[in-house]
Amino acid sequence: MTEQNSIRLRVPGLGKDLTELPLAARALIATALLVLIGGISAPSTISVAAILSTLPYFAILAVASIGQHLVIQQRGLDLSTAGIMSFVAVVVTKLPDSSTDPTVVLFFIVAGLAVGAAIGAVTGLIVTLLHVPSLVTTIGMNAILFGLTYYVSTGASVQSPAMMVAFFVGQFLFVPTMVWVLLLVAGVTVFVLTFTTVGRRFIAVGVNPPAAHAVGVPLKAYSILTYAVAGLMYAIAAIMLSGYLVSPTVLCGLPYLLGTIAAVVVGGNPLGGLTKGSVVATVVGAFFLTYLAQLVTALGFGGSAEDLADALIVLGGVALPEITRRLRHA
Amino acid sequence: MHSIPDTLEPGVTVHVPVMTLAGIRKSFGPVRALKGVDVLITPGEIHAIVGENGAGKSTLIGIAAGVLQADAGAIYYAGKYVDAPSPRRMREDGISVVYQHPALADDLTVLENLQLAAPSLAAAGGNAEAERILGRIATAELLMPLNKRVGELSLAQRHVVEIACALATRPKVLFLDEPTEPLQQADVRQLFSLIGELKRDGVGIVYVSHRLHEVDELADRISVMRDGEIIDSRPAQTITSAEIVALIAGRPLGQIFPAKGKSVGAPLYAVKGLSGRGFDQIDLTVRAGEIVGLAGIEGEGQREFIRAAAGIDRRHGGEVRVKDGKIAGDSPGAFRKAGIGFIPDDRHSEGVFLNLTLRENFSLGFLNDISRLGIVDRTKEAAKAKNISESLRVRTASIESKLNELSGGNQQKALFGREIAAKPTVLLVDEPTKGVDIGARGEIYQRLRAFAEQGMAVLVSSSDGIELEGICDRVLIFARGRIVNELAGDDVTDAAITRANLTATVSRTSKITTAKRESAWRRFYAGDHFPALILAVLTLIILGGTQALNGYFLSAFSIKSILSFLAILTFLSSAQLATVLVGSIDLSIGPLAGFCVVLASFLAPDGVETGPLAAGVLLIVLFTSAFGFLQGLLITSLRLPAIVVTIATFIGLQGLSLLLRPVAGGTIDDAISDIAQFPLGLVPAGLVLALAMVVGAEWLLFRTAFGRSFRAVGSSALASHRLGIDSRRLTWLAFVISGFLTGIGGLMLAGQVGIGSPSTGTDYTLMSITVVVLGGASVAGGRGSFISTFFGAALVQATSSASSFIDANSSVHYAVIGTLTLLAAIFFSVARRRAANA
Repeated sequence: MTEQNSIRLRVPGLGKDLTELPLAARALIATALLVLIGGISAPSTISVAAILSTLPYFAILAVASIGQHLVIQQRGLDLSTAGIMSFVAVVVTKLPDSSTDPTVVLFFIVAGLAVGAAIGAVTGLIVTLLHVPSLVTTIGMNAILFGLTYYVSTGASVQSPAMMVAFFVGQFLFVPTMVWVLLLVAGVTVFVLTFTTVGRRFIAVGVNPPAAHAVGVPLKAYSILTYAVAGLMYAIAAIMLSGYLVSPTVLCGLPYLLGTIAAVVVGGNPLGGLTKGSVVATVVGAFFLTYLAQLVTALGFGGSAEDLADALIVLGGVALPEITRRLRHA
Repeated sequence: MHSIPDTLEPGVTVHVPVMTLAGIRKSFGPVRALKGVDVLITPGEIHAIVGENGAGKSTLIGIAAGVLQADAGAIYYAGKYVDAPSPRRMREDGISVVYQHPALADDLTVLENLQLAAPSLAAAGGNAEAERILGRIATAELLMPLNKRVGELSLAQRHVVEIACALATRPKVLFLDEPTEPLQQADVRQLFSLIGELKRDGVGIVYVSHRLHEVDELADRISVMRDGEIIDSRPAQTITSAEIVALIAGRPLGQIFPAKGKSVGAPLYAVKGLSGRGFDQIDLTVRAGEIVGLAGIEGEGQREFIRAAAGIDRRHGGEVRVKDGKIAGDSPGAFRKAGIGFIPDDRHSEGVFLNLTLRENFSLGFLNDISRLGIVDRTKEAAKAKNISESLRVRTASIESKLNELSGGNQQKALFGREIAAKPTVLLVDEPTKGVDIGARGEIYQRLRAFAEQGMAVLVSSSDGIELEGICDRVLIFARGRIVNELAGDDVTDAAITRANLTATVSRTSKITTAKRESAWRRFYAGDHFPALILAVLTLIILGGTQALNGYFLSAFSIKSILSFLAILTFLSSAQLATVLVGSIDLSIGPLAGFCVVLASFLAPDGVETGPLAAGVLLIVLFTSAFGFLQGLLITSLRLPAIVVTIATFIGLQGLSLLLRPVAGGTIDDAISDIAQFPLGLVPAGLVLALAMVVGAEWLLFRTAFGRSFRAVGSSALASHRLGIDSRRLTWLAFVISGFLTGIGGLMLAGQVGIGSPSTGTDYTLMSITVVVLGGASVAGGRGSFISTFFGAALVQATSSASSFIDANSSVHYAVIGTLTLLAAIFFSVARRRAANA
């Protein structure tokens, strides 16, 4: 591999070394530390059964976070994650639940994906062509989508199709199918970003838009595409979620508003473009958060403590690199 | 150094320097921008500093202004050592700077910008004084109304405002950095006579320019800067232009320039009738093996032309041909595909990708050549990158080094390498060696010539006549956006170029751009209070419409309830506006208000005595203010993104509420709602309080120096830094204000809810943002009004009440608020872009 991926260890001062590691490696080390602490303080959390039960949640969060990652790489921020996920989850359950025809089920899944991508594209159009800040656009979209979700579901939730539930709850080669879906999504994303011309141009736009314009990258197309792909990612996550939850509620997408941003931040990715981020680090960040939630529950704290822990982790995630940087420069 | 003679003969004036810069050193990373510079500034003397781009002139000015801190050296002013130079201190002491690129607060008016620079203009008679200052600087064509927003001014007008800001403080020392760049000839004359007056008044003037004829005309003393040092400093009458040129160049020309082209082939690149912003009807042809130069004083249209000719900027008309083929399409991509390579003037912002590796930077120039079916061939990529890096002798550890680890010269070589490796037919270069050390310059010149020798065409735009003389076979002179002269063969000399520029300058005429007096209506439309009117009308329509549909809507009871909730929303939206004004945002407002409800259920329980109740209320407001204080601390001291911090606290506060009240419980004392709803005439006391707050805040924002600084921080971080405004402290304060106002709004909410419910309030985050956007505030900061925000709150509250009255289902409510947010944001975005382009 290339030099940049090698782990340079210098004596002394561990802080200095850590910052020279690639993002994914840093995220992995932090996660390993957390699992170690978790394993000691609550051994039940590292049992096979416990890990297997967290994996689906991890997979859902990770897929949605990849969408958020792409938007953040393009100097935006997507606060419509929750709205899109809730909406798509409900759209999918609108299918007649007695249906056993695979083509009908598939049709609704494809429809759900298309809806997600289309909503993302609308966001992208407003942000790109009408120059409305992504923050305002996605907050507005989010509210509209929650309204629509209530309207479509009339408040009550319906059952997901049995076939879908069976697929997402099942396992393949001893690993939950959800994880396979994640591996596929993450694998394709990493491949596209690293090895294709589209990916290279995407990175160029995030790092320096005017320079990308000068080498002929169509900025607007990439910007709109980013939101559309992000919408698609949320839709995939939403379908996984509705398959796993069996009967998704109107508010089922809500945890993913902070969760996806947290995963990107905990992965050590910079906000606002400028440098190249790491999708793998974001996926690791998603695992970190999912495991943390489980750990907090295992230690006997309820949902409220989980919220607090999430908040502290995100704050720590953005503050720590900055603090260590200051300490080194001081 | 000047020394004062022991005995003074009568009639001899001795000039004691008013300001001295001694041994100033400054480095940026590996680049040593200043290597021990001494400058003396004497009252009534014009001290010109000349030198090439990148010689360190602007850095020197930054240090003198207190904007940059020197690594070593000392500043003396009025006989005293300046121990801690800061922008504010230097300005207040009487040192003013006219920057080459004005940094003004775009969202503020001309007068407000002047008042920020010179607070005395805010006093009575300030308007007349401001008019007088502008009148001294600008010709009639450039004059603008004082209440015009700076963002809507032309480049030249902005420059006038920049100069006015510098003069408004009546400085004793004035630095001018390339002040004539965007100005027409008549304006330049006006400025020069003004400089003459200032000189007679005893102001010490430092005039930085690379236009020798200006320097010749003005200067009493001339210092030449090169590579971060002042290499010579003499009285103006003892130095000739030729000597200055030799000093600036500082090298025998023959050594670094390659031999000129031998044979010229067929036309490769042709431009016909190209027009665009700043240039008109340009025809030119570049032949194989030829290097053609574009010369002209800055701002004559050559830069705009070469950018449009490369496909980077839009053109209005005309065509570009490569090898007789017309280019299909308008995008930079189409131009590249046709065989046009481009090296921009600003390497960092437009040329390279600083945070990507050399390999990644290179391959972005020719991705299609090293990929199949859209997949990049990594082996080919690495081999090609190595090849470029070696052939251009880019000094780097490896092709996996990031560009920002390289020196400026090596970055520029890498940029040339990328463009040449894309195998263009013609290479367009804007300032080939800006900020590049002398060694790398020679290599770049050799490269360009070698490229042309391969039968390709090169077009170079440069502000450096010596550079053009050294590398070009032909030079075209730009003036007023047209080619006015052509030099070829032995005529291509720096002297001839300068002469041609000068004669062109003389023939320049002022464009007639009479300042349009705008109608009062247009002023109002573009103003901060226009939204208020629209929002008030919409609110009345919604209230009236709902009443017409259902006569029970506006009962006394529901009016009271709407007004009480309006008070809450006004406080919470004003909290949001405080952070938005400084360019930040606070997503925690909703949950924080909700947390107040939970806190109130503990601190102000039903039946509590007056004393403890007051203490509880005070504690809650103290808590929310302290919470804002901590959030602001995190955001400003660690420079963390406000969105992320407040989104985390958004979730965290909800967790905290749930922790304290897992289920709703604890009745809140009626006293709070009794006070808030106590009828004062027709309106509840809470709303009266809210209105008083709105009016007070509006007054602070628009009528005081504090308010102007507040808006300047959100409008332009750079401008406020140069003005010496502490943007971090004001941002921090914005969060404290946000916490404080949220505390009051939260208490009112507690009074309305009446019980410690853990899930109230959260919606207010979205609503507060909607209200602020409706009120016309810019989410990017700098713009907004508390009064308009109040009317935004009225509309949202009316909509919200009406929709829940018509349909209890909350879905409508969410969708309506979301749609309102989007529509308002789109409306203001489109309207303001139109205003800025007008």
